[in-house]
Amino acid sequence: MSVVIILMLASLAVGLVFVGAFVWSVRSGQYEDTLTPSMRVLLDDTTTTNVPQTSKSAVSQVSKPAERADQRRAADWEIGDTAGLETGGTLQSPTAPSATALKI
Amino acid sequence: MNIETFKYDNRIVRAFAIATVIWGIVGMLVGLLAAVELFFPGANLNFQFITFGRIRPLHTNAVIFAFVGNGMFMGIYYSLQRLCKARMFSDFLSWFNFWGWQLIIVGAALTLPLGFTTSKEYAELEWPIKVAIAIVWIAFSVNLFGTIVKRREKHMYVAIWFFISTAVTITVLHVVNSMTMPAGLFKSYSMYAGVQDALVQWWYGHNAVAFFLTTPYLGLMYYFLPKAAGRPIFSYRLSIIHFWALVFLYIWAGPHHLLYTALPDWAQSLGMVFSLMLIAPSWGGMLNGLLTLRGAWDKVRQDPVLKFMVAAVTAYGMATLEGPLMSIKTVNSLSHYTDWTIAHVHGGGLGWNGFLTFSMLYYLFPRLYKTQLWSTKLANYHFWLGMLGIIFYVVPIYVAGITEGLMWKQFNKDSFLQYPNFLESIVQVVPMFRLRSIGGTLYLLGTLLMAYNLYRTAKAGRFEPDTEAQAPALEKTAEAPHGKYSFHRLLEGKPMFFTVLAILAILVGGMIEIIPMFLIQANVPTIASVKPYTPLEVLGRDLYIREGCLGCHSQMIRPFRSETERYGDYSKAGEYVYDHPFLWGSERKGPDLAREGGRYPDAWHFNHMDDPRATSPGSIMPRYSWLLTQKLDRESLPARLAALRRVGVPYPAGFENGPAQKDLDAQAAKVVANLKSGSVTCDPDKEIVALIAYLQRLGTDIKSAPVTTAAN
Repeated sequence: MSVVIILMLASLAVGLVFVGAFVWSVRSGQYEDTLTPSMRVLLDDTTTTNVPQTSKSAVSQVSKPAERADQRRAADWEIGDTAGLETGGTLQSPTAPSATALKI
Repeated sequence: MNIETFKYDNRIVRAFAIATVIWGIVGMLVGLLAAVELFFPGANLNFQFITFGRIRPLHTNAVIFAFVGNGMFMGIYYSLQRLCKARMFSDFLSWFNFWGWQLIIVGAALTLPLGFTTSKEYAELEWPIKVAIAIVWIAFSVNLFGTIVKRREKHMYVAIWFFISTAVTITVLHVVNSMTMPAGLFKSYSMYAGVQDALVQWWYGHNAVAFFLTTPYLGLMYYFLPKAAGRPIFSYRLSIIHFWALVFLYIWAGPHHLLYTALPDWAQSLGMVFSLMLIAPSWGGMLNGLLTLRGAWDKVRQDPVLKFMVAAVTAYGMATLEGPLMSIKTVNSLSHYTDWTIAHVHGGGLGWNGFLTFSMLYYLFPRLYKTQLWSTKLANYHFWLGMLGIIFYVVPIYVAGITEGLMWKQFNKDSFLQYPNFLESIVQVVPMFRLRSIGGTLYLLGTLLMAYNLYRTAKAGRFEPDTEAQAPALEKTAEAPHGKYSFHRLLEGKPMFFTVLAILAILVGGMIEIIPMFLIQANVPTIASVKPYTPLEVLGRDLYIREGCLGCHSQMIRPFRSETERYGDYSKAGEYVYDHPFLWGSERKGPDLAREGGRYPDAWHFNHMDDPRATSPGSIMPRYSWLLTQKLDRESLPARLAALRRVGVPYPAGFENGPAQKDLDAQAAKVVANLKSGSVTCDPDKEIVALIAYLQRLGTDIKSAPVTTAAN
């Protein structure tokens, strides 16, 4: 049954790759915000129902969350004092997706 | 802030979408043919290339790798670009992935009916195609990681993590399970033997389900379900927990496919425990998907996309509850080898993968073609046809499976088997097989309706090859005053990408070095009377593999009284040390053959192969009359014996040049003489002679040695 050793090594190697990925994702702040990512997915879409919109409004739609993303990025490096700011930013974000959602 | 304008590639998504529809229909048609052959064995028109044993792997490969595989690529290529706010890393790699994958599928569709198969489930394709799969898969992985590296959105949405786990794990699984020794262009022998081969195969087989049919589709669910519902996922935190729990648990559950076999008991228990633990993340994921629709169930009533998704997620929940339950050893003792397993995989396959694929197609076509779905009504018909199809498929097959399991185990009051003839259990469930094919037909009809609907949708709209989008460039944050600065630099951006590639490379290299070294040592027999197969038996065994006999016949007697009464002494690990590959099978539509040797005279086998119903009235086995007329391929014998020696079978040096042929002639003459005494005339150079020699050898090594019972 020495093949078990190979399978264990392979499985553990895969496991270790993902442990590394997990550590990276936590330390790089991937999970500091667990609210906006779920809403951001709903944006940036050029769906069929959005087509009639002018390209101007589409651009403004894109740039707005982008600005917020930038604030968040800045906040990432100054944990503590800007934490409140960050939630302040995310609290507004639900309005944008739900507005598009209603149109759909 | 630097706003960048870029284009999402829709062409590649459309290509995969069309391939998904086409291969889906092909795969389901083949499945339907296989289903019909199970109650009407003449449906192959006595044509060897479409006999059940050969098209069963064709069906599984077509629906898993062609239908779901293309569906997976379609969904990933669409969602990944949008989640990363970036075009795919390389258009060349995208198209290399597409055409490479289609060529592999065509290769499979040609070689499997021709009988070129390794016999390892979901890994049947012979080594040249396996190499091609590895190359195309790596191209896909590079494209995936490249896109992630050049993403414009810092946060990696949970779907991306699911895609990453698919790319990484499938690479490792495929490489480890594909370790074979070529013996010609379309023949190879597994490096592993017997129990070891079985463990590797089901470590792979289970994880193919986990990381090919499940994780990528979960990623797609986390993208397409919120999009279609127009609201965020119920709990993003739960989705993160779902991912990390799944990725660490899944890979250890493989041995649940080998409960009560000759696999060491501790490995079986390990597989069972991890399987049970999987209920938690799986149901977390299912509930997360369903609860996303809280307050929006009215949309489900109107939107066929959501209808399909809700049904798919529910099917995911059902399959991931049932799977762990079937992994409990007690339940497994009843369910294993029966049609229960078939019902289980079709609940998951038709419900989860099929319906989620349909929902993505209905979601994508109007968006790619910038129009509305041509007919919502038709899509609703599809939904209900599909639902009825699933129900008409799984319910009869559950009944069949439990009936088989109970009948095999039933003793009468005098403590004899109630149904000593295996065939009784099959005759009993044939009506269920008929019903099942109705379910399959309904499901296929629904898919055809969808194909038509999507075609009309495409005609009505105008395809948009590229979707323009804008996003700010992702600033490099490596210089940030954070303290963990060097760690970041190491793992973020390009270095991360190369680290992953390097780990994969090391892993692959390490495997190739380590595996042969380990295994040749380990294949030393522990039962002295077990000897390598003779040359004629090797060729017969290869015919057994070519015809896919193991699709219906297991070679593994479990240690239950109901099995030892029926088939003989339970199977031991030491009996399989020369089995490259192992042929335990996973399904019994016919009796176990582990101790078939000496059970019937040679002439019986000859007549049985010519027409199974002549010797066993009511049998659903197809005729194998071509074995009686086709000449045995003796030219390949030296290459085959040499390859087997290289993987550790102790044939003496030079055996394949002369002694082997002499041995073969002598044994063939013996079989022919036996046939003659059974009033059958047959030339010694026919394929049937080799197959009979192999069947008569099965299980006799330890049968003849310790206890000398009369061969009945």
